[in-house]
This record gives sequence, structure tokens and C-alpha cells, in this order.
Amino acid sequence: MTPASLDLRPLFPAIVVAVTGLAVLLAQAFTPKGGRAPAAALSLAGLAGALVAVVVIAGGRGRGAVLATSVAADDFALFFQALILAIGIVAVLLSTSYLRETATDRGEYYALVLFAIVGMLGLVSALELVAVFVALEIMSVAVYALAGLQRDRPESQEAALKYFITGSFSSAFFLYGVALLYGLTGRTSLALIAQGLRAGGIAPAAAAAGVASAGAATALALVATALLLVGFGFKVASVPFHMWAPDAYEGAPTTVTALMAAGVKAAAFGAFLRVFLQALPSLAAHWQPAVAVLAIVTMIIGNLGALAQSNLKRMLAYSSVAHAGYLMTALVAAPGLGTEAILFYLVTYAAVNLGGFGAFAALTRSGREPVTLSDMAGLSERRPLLAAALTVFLVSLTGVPVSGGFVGKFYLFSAAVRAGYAHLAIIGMLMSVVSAYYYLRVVVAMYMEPPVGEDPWSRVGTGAALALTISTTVVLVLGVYPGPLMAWARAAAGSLR
Amino acid sequence: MTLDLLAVLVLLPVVGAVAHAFIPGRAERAHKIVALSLTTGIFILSLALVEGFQPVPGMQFEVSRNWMPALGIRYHVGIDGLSLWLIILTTFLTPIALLGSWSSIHSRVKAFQILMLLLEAGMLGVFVALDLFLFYIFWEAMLIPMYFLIGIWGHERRIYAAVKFFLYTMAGSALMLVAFIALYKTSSAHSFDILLLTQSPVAPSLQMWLFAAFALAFAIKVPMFPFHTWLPDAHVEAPTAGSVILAGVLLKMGGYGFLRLAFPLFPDAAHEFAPYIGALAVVGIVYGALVSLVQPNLKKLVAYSSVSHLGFVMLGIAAFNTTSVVGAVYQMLNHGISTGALFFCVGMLYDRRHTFAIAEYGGLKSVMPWFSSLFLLVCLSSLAVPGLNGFVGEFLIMLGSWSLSHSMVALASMGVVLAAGYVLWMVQRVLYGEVTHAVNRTLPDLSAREFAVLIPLVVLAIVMGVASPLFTRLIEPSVQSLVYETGTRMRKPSPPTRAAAAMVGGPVGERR
Repeated sequence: MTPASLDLRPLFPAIVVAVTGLAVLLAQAFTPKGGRAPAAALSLAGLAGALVAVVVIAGGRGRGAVLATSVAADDFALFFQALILAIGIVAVLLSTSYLRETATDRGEYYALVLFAIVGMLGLVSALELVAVFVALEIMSVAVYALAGLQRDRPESQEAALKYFITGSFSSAFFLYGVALLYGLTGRTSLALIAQGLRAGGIAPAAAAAGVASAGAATALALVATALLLVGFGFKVASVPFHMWAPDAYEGAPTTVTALMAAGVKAAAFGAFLRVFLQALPSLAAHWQPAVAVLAIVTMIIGNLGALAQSNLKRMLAYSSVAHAGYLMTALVAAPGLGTEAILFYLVTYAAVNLGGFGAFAALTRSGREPVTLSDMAGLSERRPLLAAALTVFLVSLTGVPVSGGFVGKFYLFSAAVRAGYAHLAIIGMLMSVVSAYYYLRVVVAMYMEPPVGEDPWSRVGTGAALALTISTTVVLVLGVYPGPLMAWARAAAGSLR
Repeated sequence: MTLDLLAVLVLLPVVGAVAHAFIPGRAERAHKIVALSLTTGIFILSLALVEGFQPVPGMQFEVSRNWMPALGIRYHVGIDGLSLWLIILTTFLTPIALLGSWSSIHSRVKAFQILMLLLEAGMLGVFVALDLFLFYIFWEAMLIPMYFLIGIWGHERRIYAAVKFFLYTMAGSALMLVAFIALYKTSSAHSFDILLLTQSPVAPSLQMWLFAAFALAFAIKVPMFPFHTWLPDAHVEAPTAGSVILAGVLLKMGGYGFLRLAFPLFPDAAHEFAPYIGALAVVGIVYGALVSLVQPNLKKLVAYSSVSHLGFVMLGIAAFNTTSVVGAVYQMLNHGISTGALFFCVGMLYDRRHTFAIAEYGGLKSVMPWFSSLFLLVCLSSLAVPGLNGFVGEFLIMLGSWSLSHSMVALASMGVVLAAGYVLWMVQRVLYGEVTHAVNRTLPDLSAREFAVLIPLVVLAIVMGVASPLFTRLIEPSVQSLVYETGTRMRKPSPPTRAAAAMVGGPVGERR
């Protein structure tokens, strides 16, 4: 082992977050009964510290691949890490008042959030399939536990169980795909797998196992690709692997749903991109049509499903399925413009979902959350600013200017059309019109219907107000002045080529 | 760096809207005063465009800056004869609409002013944008304030109307966005710049598809028969200011889109589709007039008359020669003035009686003499009586469209006759005869504020009727070059059909 490989600087952000997680747990243990550990403050400090570390690394100190080139701090990883840490900060800001109102204010909540973030950070920087799997599991296990944190709510338990079972199932698919690729090429490193597959030769291990012809090798590689596709399909909630999403999104504590919709989706797409573009480019002609088909059914079923929902969290869950479909239209067009578009879109999408679920969380009072459209009636008169912010998020989800969502969608569909997949863009735009109907229903309720009865909602707390302000600002600024983020996304996408 | 007057015009309302956010909502009067003075100021500022405008073809007040280099998108604005007067129309109608709704908007006054300002910014943006992306941003962004205006301050079925308006318009423009990207990809210009794109034609087979996508968006906006069904709902349910802006400006964007984008970008497809557009336009003229004839609801009558009037605009565009297009642009302005004024009049009646039913009125001439005389003038301008604005536009359109098809012009002239029928019959039932409802005996005549709303519109209707060269002088050079350039860019040497002759423009002497 050379001294260079002991360099842990690229891992520094993840280390900071992990240590903070442990510190939060310990602080909880050392707090006398009845007292309160400053868990939220500690988490914020840790996440902010990690963000600083990302910035420092991006400045040039500590880039590169370490641990036998299994983990890297390249532009792509740094882009995602910054995004994920920002998501974490906003999610923690949203959590304090929500946890208090739902009586789930326990230290392990923050520790689990931090551990989930460690997994996400690893997921986007792993250059090697086993590392990807380990990071995926770190993230998933923490999120399973978070989903079930409201033990007294049966929905929460159901969410955790469903998410756990389908999640483990998908992990198994993923692992089987990893195993096949390893068997075929004798490697787990993304770059070396790509080399092996491109050479078309059969690794000695595979030959020993009886893979005799190049044709059989290709067939096996395709099976492995399909299995990986299933694994990632589960994590990004693409149809037909989306069944868990509505239940998990609805049942999980709302701030956890926000983290799932923003963070898990971003990290999963990050790994999805990296694995498929770096390990399987030689099979692109095979997996791109498959992803295209998945994108189509995901956009259609996600949007039609959302149309039928009366529960707001379920509606946003189906909308998150639909948005996975939009994102996959650009995955078909990756690398290049498609990758950039996905990176850009994930930023606006994260802001919108944190904001949207965050708005519901901010209104929660004594365990009661807004869940139906009638809960939203007349909200513009009771909480004018929050209603305005929520309108911005819904407009952005619909993809109407002036919002980051519009620019992002334009970016995604530009990539698809330029890569010759105009039909994906056409379906995506038509489905956006469908989506306008269900997003607008919320706006109608907030602005065009009178409030009913007593005001049951909480005042918006400081942390939540800050989080919502950040999200709104991001969405609006990206709608008008997206240039800098586009340039950054382009640089990040460049490191995948 | 010169002062970017167009950017100032578009941004001022936005700045105003932000400023409103800092005035407490209870200070309703302050909100009204600030918005009215700001929009009046914007109108005065916009007159600087007329002042500095040269009667030559090509873009003026042009500014082009880098915006999103990653996607080939620029901030590019400018105006020519097509857009100049539409901009003035927008800045002119907005303060009048605010004044007109001074006392009819009772709830959420602050939000109302903010939305009107944002709407103005969006409308101005559409008319100045010279980059497809920029155009689309304004085109779509405009929907949101209009949606709220209808949905919050509208009448009984306002929510239905607002959602229908939003979904219809968005559905129309959804495919246009894909067409934009496809155009970027296939055109040799590799840009979203409208001026560059018009100079690098696309293969005729692809033109058909792209034109169809553009035409759908614009046809819904105009609205052309059979895409008009959202319009009666939106118009009837919207508050007066919303109807005025909707009819006065928003509907013009369809015609403007055809002239600025669909025809010059896809000359071959436009030539191919022109007879069908003309036919639909004529159907719209007659259909809109016939439906107006049987309307018992005053506001719906005006709404359907818009379908008919905009049919004329589309007929002029379809014929696509200098005379007919100048007529179409002029008719767009006329319709903005006349129908805007009509909606104000209808709104004033509604403010007094809270009904749009024609049967509820009658004999108002003796009760409200001032209102009646102005209303009559507005109606006459709407049905194109010579000496008033409507006549000039419709005459130029019919003159120019003669080359497209004689029978279309003949049928369109039926529309003029029918218009006289439905308008005068309505006038008769509302203004003349005995006062049939006791409540109507005590209706107050126009207030000073209402005078201030109607007088500018009526004066303009007369001025535009007798001194049309004042306006057409600035429109004509741009239209002439548009028609000529579009004709020369056609790929296929077309057979010398009448429509083709129309495409390249008749001899100059033919005009007027």
C-alpha cells in the first residue's frame, strides 16, 4: 500500500457527517433524563462543516480517487455531495418544529438522518460496485428506520415495513447484477468492468465457469444490466418498481418524506448515472431503449396515479414517480447534455420537494397534519406567505415559468430531443399538462376556496420559515438566472466521460 | 451601454409588484394609487418607443445578451412594426383596466394589483422577445396571473373557467416547446434566436410538423374555431379587468405568434396550411356571429363576438399579403380598443345591477344618457361602421384576402352583416324602448371615474378610424418586408396559384 492511498481527504465530508452522527447519539446518552441534547444544532454544525469540506476539496485540495480507487472526489461527486449536504441542512431545519408537534423529538432521529446522508455521500462518490452497494445499504437502512419512527402511527409502521421489504428485495437484485458482472469480468471497479466488456473477451473466471462464447458473455452482461436497472429503478421509484413509494411517502414522518424525495432520489440518480455511464457504456445501445420505455410508462403512470389521489402526500409521491420519468428521459440521452440536465433538474427538484413537504410539516400542530385538499382551503388567507411559497413549488413541479422546474424540464427535454428521442419529450410535455390539473387543485383550494372553521394549523417556526425561504429562493433564482448552476452541472457531468 | 428601454418596460411592473409586497394589505387605497400611477407612468414611457420608432423594416431598440450559453439561449429583445402598437395597446389598457376596477374589486386589493402588474410584465415580454426560449417564458408565465385573476375575483363558475383556461392554453403550448427544441436541433442556425432561425429554413417535410405544433398553440390562444371553447367561459367568469386584458391583449398573442413565428419560420408549411387557416377563420367569423346573435347574456355575446372578430384577423394573416396583414395587425388593435371598451361598459352595467342578462335591461337611454351614447359609439366601432376604427381593419383584410379566395371574402362579409345584426339588436334591447324593470329607473349615470375609463377608448376609436395612416405608417414597412422575405424563403418554387401569389405579396399599388 502506497502512502498516497492512505489519503482520506476525499472522504472527509462523509467522515465529518458520520462523526457528527455518533456525537449526536452520544450527546443523547449523556443528557440527563428529561433534558434535551442540542441534537439539531449539532447536526446543522456537522452538515455545514462537511459542506465547507466539500468546498475546500473542490478548491483543489484532496481531489482524486482513494482506497484502491474505490471512492473518488471528482467534480461529479462534489456536485452531488454539495447538493446532498444542502438537502440535509434544509431537512434538519424543517425537522425541529415538526418533531416537537408530532412528539417524535428524539436524538436518534437526527443521528439516523446523518447516517442516511453518509450513505448518500458515499453512493455518489463510489467508483466500485461493492462500495456502491455498501453506501446504498447505509443509506437505505437509516431511511427504513426513519420511516418507521412514529411508532404509534400504523401508517408509519406500514411505510417502514413496505419500504424495507421492497428495498431489500431491490438490493438483492442489485447485488445479483453486481455478482454477474464480477463473474463475467473478474472486476468490481466501474472503469475496469467497462474495459472488460468493451474488449469482449471472456475473463478467466467466466471461462472456468463455463461461459464459452462471446455471445453468451453478452447475454450474461445484459442480464446483469437488467438486474442493476431493477435495483436502481426501485430506488428512484420508476414504474413498475414504484409500488412502495405512495405508501412509504404517505406513512413516513413528513420531514423524512422530504428527505426521501429530495435526497434519496438525488443520490440514487447519481449512482445510477455513474454506474451506467462508467461501467456499461458499451451496452448503451441495449439499455437506452429499455430506459426509454421505463421513462414513458413512469411518466404516464406516475401522472395518472397522482390524478387519482386525494391525500396530498400520496399525490406528491406519485408526482415524484412522474418526475423520475422526466429525469429518465434525459438518462437516455446521457452522457453529455443529458447528464448535465439531470444534475440541474435534481437541484430544482430537491428544492421543490423539500419546500412542498416542508410546507406540510410546518403546518403540523399537535400531531395533526394537512393531508387533504380541504385542509388547504383558504390557506392563502391564513398563511399568505406559506401559501405563496407552496404555489411557487407547485408551479415549478408543473414546469411553468418563471421557476427552476421549467428551466430544468426544458433542459431534460432538450437533451432527449437532441439525442433523437423527441417522442419522450412529447409524452413528457403532454403529461406535464395532466400534472397541471392535480397541482392546480391545491392552488385552487388555497386561493379560491374560503377557509372553513377554526384555524387548526401551527404558526410557521423559525427553522421551517428559513428552510422554506431557502427553497423558494432557489426555485425562483434558478428560473431566472440558471447560468451558473448550468456551468457547474456541465463541469460535473464532464468527469463522467 | 445604452439604456435598454424594452427591459425597463418589462421590468418596471415586476419591480412595482415587489414594491407592493411591502405595503401592508390594509392600505387598499395606497395600493390602487401606486399601481395606477406606475402603470400610467409605464404607458407614458412606452410612448418613447413611438417617438423613436423609424418607419423602416427591421428590429429597433434591439438588445442581445448572453443568458444561458449552455443551451444556446440569449436574452434578445427588439420591436418592429408588428409589435410596436401591441406594446402600446398593452401599456394603454393596463392602467385603464386598473381604473375600471377601482371600486369593483373589494377583496384582496393588494394581490389584485400585484397580479395585474405581473400580467403586464408578461404581456410586454411576449411582444418584445426575439428568442424562442424567452418568448416561451413570458408566454407561459402570463398564464399564472390570469389564472388567479379569473379564479379569485371571477363570478360563480370562476374556478372551472380558470382551470379550463390554464389547461387549454398550457396544452396548446406544450407541444410548441418540443417544436422549439426540435427546431434548434435541425436548423443550421443552431440557436433559439428568432431572427437567425428565420434565415435558416428547415426541410419542408419537417416544417409541416413544426408548423402544426406552433399553430395549435396560437390557434388556441386566438382562439380559432374549433379551439375557442375556453374563451366564453374565461370571458364570462373573469372580472371586468380580466376580460378587458384577456380580450384586449392576450388574444392578440395568437395572431402575433403566427406572424412573428409560425409563418416566417415555416414558409412552405404556412403556404400549404394557409387555405385551411383561412377556411377555419371564415367559419369562426360566421359561427361567432351566429352564436352572438342568440346570446341572452351580454358578456357572452361580447365574448362570442371576439371569436368572430378574430376570425377576420386570421383571415388576413392566412392571405398573407401586405394589405391583408396590415389589416390584420390593425384589426388586432381595433379589437383591443373596441372589445375592451365593450367589456368595460358591460362591467359598468354589472356593477349597477349584478346581472349580465340582456332581458334585465331596456330603456337605459333615458336613465343613463351619457352611458348610452358612449356605449352606442363603442358598439358602432365594434361592428365596423365607416369613420370608426373597426372599418379600416376589416376593409383592409377583405381587400387583401380577395386574392386568397373570393368565396371566403364573400362569406366573411356575411359576418359584417351579422355583426350589425347582433350588436344593434342588443343595443336596441338594452338602451331603447320602455324601462321594463323598475329598478332600472334609478340607475346612476357614469361617474367621473367611469368617464375617465371610457373617454380615452372612444377617442382612440375615432382617431384610429379617421387617421389610420398615423398608425399604419409604422406597421407597413415591417409587414412588407415580412411578406416579401417569407415569400423568397420558400423552398419549393410554387405553382402560380392564387394563394401563392398572395404569399409573395401583390404589387404595392394594390394597397388602399
